[in-house]
Amino acid sequence: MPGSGSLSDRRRLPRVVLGAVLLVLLAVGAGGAAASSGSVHAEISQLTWGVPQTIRSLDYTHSGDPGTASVVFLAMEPLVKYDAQGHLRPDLASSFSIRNPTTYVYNLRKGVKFSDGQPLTTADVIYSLQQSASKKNGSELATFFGSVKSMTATGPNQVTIKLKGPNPFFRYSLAVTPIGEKAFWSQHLKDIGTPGVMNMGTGPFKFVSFTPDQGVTLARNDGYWGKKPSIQNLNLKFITDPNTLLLAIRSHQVDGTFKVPQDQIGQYKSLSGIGVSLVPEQLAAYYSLDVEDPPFTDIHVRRAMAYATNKTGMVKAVLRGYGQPAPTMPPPQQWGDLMSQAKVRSLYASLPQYTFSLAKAKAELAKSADPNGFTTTVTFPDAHPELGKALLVLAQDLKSLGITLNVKQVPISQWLNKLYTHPKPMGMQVGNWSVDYPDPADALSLIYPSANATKNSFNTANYKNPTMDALIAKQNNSVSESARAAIIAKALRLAATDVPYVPLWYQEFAVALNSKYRYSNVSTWYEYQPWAEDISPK
Amino acid sequence: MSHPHFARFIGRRLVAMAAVLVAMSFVIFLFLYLAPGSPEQILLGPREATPESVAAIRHEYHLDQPFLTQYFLWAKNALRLDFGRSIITHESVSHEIVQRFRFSIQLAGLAFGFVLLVGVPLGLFAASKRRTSVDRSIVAFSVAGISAPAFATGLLLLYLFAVKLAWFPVFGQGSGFFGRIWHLALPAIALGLTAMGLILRLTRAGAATVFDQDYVAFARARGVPRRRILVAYVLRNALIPIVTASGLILAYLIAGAVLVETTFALPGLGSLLVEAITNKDIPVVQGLAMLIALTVVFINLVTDLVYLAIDPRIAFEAAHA
Repeated sequence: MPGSGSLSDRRRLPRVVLGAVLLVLLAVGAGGAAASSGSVHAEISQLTWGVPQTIRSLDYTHSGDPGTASVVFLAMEPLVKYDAQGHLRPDLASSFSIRNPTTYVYNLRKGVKFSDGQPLTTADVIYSLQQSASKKNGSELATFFGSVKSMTATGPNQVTIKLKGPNPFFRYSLAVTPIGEKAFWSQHLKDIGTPGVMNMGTGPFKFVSFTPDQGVTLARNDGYWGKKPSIQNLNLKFITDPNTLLLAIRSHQVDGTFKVPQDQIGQYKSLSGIGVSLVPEQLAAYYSLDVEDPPFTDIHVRRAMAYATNKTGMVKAVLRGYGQPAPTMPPPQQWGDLMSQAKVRSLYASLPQYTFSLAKAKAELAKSADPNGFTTTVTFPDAHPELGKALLVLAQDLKSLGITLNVKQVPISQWLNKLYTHPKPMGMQVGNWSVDYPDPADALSLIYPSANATKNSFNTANYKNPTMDALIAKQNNSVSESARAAIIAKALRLAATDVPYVPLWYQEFAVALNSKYRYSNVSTWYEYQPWAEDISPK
Repeated sequence: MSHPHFARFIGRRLVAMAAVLVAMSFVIFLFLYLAPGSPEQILLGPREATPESVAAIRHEYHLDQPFLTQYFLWAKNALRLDFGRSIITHESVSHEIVQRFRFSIQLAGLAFGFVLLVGVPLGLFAASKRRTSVDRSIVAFSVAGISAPAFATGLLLLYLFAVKLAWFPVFGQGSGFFGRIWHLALPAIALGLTAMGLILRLTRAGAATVFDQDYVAFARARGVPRRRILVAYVLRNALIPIVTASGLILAYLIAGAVLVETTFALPGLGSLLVEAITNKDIPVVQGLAMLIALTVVFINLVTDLVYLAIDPRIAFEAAHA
């Protein structure tokens, strides 16, 4: 067919320019950008906050992760709360006392009202604690209440909790258990915490709306018993893509966020009009070596691995310097009430350190049954790429010892499955342990007791040492803080000598906030505190 | 096609659809059952769990029952359109899915509009200008569209139009009709760009062949207006492959938008599906699979009906086969 083009009248064709089509489409409804967060004098009419995850529910007993806590604890309060240093302070209980190692007494604050105007009573407190402790309901907090014998009202404003036996952690459980209104909760038992129902608490804010995968809006609770926050309306937006969150903050459509990824902290710092503060995170990265699985049965192999672990290099390369190498499991701030930070520092400096040295690693390996090295495999969860990067650093250093470490990524569900089912042998396992309480015995009683070298427990090293078990039991049964601190220090020294676990680092987390606002006292325990009440206009 | 033929055609389709749904639900249930990990481990996370709390969660969701019992318990309720509650959020599955579906349809609709309104005219235009530099630049544009991954285009669009120019919001879904369109414009373009490139190329290829046909030359010789030649002669004859591809594309836009949904923080079906699979939230995965299968089957049915409308010869052949 000869040149069909010659028959066409080119001039009558619409002159479509590629870009023009796009531009017309793009211009549809192009109004002004979202005007967020206008501040009026000492008040903030609206603050928009980016939450880097989605939350499942506003019912903390069925969505008991720290991210949900950071939302729920704005509107619901516990009996006692952590202060910025992790010390327990009165909250809904105006005072509390430990009568003896198994009897805890809480006196309720008078004049506290739920956001619907109903007064707080002992019935609300007991009901909330019972729901949180209920294994039958599948409460995710039930573990915290495993040692409870009874919870009763012993006065019009007094609740007494008796334990089956001494448990030094129990007092912290009440700082992570929000109290709700009994009438509301029992009326909505099946769907409490879902978008249509939400939840009812006494906190400085109250829930206004909850849209799954979008966010939660809260308003100031004008009937709040404590100090009135500056923020009138708080708009929490779930933005899971870190790049999108960065752009949203950069364009000031979102005012602030917690937990900026380590590799983006630098970018956030360079944004104009955005302030970044760094706070230690209550998290320790570590790996475990199954002491019942050769070659890790040999302490010289474990020590060689520890010496070959370049913690300082990992902090620099993987965390971009936002963290500290970890000589032992508990992050220093976890000592809370037990020991001053200065004493913690000197204790940590006195522990066996295994400072990175390939020469020492080689010497240790030479003493072992496998002087020429071996091959082993480790998997890391896809949700924690930083662990994968750290393992690759380790694999590189182990090469020079003749040890081949194969690093494999698995879905987090598969990684959790191994953790729970505890197959034998466990081999090498990597983990990111997030602390439960401001108490350094937390890690001890989680990963070191012989009894925990089993299904559903996390002694992934299968470490069994009667001395360690005795130390853990001894501090459990002691109520004297100084005695406990001394025993725990001894146990941590033993742990560092036997190296079933190699702690890697404690990381820092960054809070980014529009410079129009001030956030006083950013706390490492913010998730369990009504953190937004500390944000005010500059 | 006469009425009895038509009824038989639809009837056959419905039976096939039911069979597909049953087979699919079983296979998906089986795969989730076999995959490593278990919902209670994800619920509890890496924290100490008492055997009782693990057992309580397993019992609540029948995870302690044998596989077939679990499946039949699900199927029995599903027949009554009760898809149960999500293990992870405790929300009713139907409720959760319907909300997401409504949103995904809007996003997909907007993206689909972009795909057709940009892809088809540009394809026709390129075909009419074959072997010129205009044609070549349009083709280059379509190649770029096909090759650019949606999350990258999304971030680029966000950077240019939401951050630099501040014409559009960075995230969120907006409220009201215009608010929604304003919020969904960038995601829809990012989502539709690949498909747009594909439709553009299909249209160009189809139209190029038709342009070479004698009847087009005759129409031109008869002085038929150019616009009419383009629409009634070229486009209509080139339309069958475009419609076929459009059906597939629409299904993909509805269920496969996960990257765009994540980039723009939007609550669509794609991200729900990925989340539910990661969390082994079996009731939600099953509910979604049923909905997506229904959507695909429905779109295919509509596509076939559209064929009949475009090309009566197909109806004639079907009736006399």
